[in-house]
Amino acid sequence: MSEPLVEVRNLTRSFGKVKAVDDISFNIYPGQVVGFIGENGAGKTTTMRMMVTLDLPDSGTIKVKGFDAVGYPNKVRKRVGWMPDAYGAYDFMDVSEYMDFFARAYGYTGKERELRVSEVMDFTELNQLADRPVKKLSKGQAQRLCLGRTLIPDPELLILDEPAAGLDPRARIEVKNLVRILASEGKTLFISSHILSELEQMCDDMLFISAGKIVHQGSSESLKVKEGHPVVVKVRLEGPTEKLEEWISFQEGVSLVAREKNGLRMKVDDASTDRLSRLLRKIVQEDFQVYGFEREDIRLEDAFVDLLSKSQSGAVS
Amino acid sequence: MNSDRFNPMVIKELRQGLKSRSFLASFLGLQVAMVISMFVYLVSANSKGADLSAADGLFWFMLGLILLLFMPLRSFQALSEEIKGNTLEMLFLTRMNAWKITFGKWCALVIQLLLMVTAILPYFVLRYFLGSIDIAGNLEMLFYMIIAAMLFTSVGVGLSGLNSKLLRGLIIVGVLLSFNILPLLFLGASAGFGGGPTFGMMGWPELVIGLIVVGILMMFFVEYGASQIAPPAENHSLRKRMLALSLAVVLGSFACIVDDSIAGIILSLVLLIPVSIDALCEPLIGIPSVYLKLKKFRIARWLFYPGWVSGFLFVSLVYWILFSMMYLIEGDADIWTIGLIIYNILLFPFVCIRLVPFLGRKALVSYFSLQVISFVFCLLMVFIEEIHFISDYIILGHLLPMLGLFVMADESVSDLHPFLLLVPTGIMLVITLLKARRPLKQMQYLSRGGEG
Repeated sequence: MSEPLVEVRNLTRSFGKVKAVDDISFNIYPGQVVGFIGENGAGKTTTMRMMVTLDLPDSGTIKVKGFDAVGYPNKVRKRVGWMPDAYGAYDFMDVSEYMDFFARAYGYTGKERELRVSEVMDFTELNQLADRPVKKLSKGQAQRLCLGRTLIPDPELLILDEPAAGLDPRARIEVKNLVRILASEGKTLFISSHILSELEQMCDDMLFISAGKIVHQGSSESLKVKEGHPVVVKVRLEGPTEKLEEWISFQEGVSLVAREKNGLRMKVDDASTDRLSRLLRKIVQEDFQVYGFEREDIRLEDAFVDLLSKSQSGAVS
Repeated sequence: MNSDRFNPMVIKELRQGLKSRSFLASFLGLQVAMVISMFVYLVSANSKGADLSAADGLFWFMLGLILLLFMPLRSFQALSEEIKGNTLEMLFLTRMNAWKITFGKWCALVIQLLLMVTAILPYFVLRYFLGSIDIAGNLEMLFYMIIAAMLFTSVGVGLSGLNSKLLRGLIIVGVLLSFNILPLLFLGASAGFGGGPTFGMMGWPELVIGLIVVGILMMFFVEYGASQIAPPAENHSLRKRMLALSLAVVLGSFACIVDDSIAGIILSLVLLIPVSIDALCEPLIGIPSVYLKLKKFRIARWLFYPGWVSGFLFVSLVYWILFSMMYLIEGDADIWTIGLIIYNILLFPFVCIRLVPFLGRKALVSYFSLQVISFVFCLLMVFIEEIHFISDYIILGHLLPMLGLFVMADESVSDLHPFLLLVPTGIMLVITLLKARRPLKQMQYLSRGGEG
């Protein structure tokens, strides 16, 4: 694998006695879309703010493309775009003036500035709102403006804090589509959200944070199906199921859950692909006429809630 | 003209500012006031024994009200508006630093001020035709008014970064008090041996020096505002202290070469007070890049690192150089006594803050609060002394820094012994050095880029 774009090591940040971020470590690789999931107050925004150099850690390091975020914040800022959950609007300023100001602030001049502003406004579909005062934008329009502002310097890494929070379904789809396009263009994205199902469709990797600690890292699949944990498998077969039920009762680590029309559901002690494929091979070798063998996935939200309750009871290492 | 040459903040602030209600109200208000004053001029000019002084007074009062009060008042919102609106952080992620943001805001306010002035120029000319107006004198007056308004605006912008309105007020009151107390002390001391310095009539050298000093002061206040909002990775201690040094050099040179009196040095001592308090209250910053950038300053870098340790070194060095210069000019030993008292007063809250870490969380608030408490306590002491004679009153004046000031005012400078005043100075220096040991080691480590 290539060098990580972001390396976070043993990051800790406290506010008084509250440890908002508690010794977390992770990597983000170029071109990855990483979801950052956690309940309110879990430490998502604090982590992100430290990554974009707006806050200082108590201990630990953050490196963006090899540059330390504390020691060399200006070098990090040039590579990072940050879209906060709440954006600040200015009085007496319309959308085009707002974008023009930020393009100037990012160092664009003359024709280059006009071109960049027009590209970003096209991409975020802000053209039709060009003359609208920024204070009068709807939440969805404001999020697009905020994303547009973040895209002006064309950063390598985009850090988006709750980009879809508080949006109506249509605006949520718009933001999701924009994120998808950015991901397809090869941008590295780090997105926090409560809406797990949305992140599940977009992200290559996910970080689950609770009470300042990373409680799980991996794909959504890895959270839903954990090796070494039991899983329910639905088996479909021709003919009666009694023989299979009897066979199951002699198998170690396998138990019947329910009988169904054209098959049954059984619980297997280990969800690993290896264990399941061995089990399927054995069933076929026993001459059962199997035409369906499907692992039942739990919903990501349920898996996350399960994970949270385990982490709170100390079951997650 | 290509607008790319301008600071983006100037363009943004002008776009917003010219549409704002406060600018519009001030602009229209000034126009109405000017029309009214022209009407009064007309009436006065046509009356028997035409006396235009009332109309003149009204004209300047209206102009002063808008330029020196309303316009500078707007500047007190300059940075607090950004802080409240949660917009500063997104600006820091652009290529703009805190100085560009603050300076841009100040420039935009000054441009709006100049627009106001331009708008009243027709009335200026009209007054010339209505009566015997000294146009050159009036233009000079307007020039000073603009300079004063620019200075007040910079003060407003500088203080607008402070969250506490009480603290803003305390700083203004503190600076005004210093302007009154310090000159009295030193002028009183020097009056005994040769009449003391005279501020005299303003000639060209004084005017030029005055403008340079005002210019430096404006930059200092803008820089102070920038330091209030800046992310920790920006070193504003360097600029603030450089500006303070240039102020001391300009006024010191003026005192030695042109004026041959200590008036300029007294003024620089007064003007250095806010810089000194700021330097003594600065938090330490553990960011290697800030320290590495100062490597070129060699040994002098220890005066410009951010934080109270270098702040203490800076303040001590500058103040004692200025006291020495005063002594060289006037040759009066009382200068050392007064110098020690001022130095002790400056250090007292600083040492308290170092001793009680809790006070360091809001160092500036703590500093001012301790100074106020100390002042009130000494007032009480003086009051008690007036009723019941306290035999050790003068001795206490040596040990309690602020009380020394009252003893000086009450009795005389010669009642205080410089050697006895050195006792609290010594104690405070020992405490400071003990408390500075660990930060000094950390600063050494950071100045090597956080390695070794």
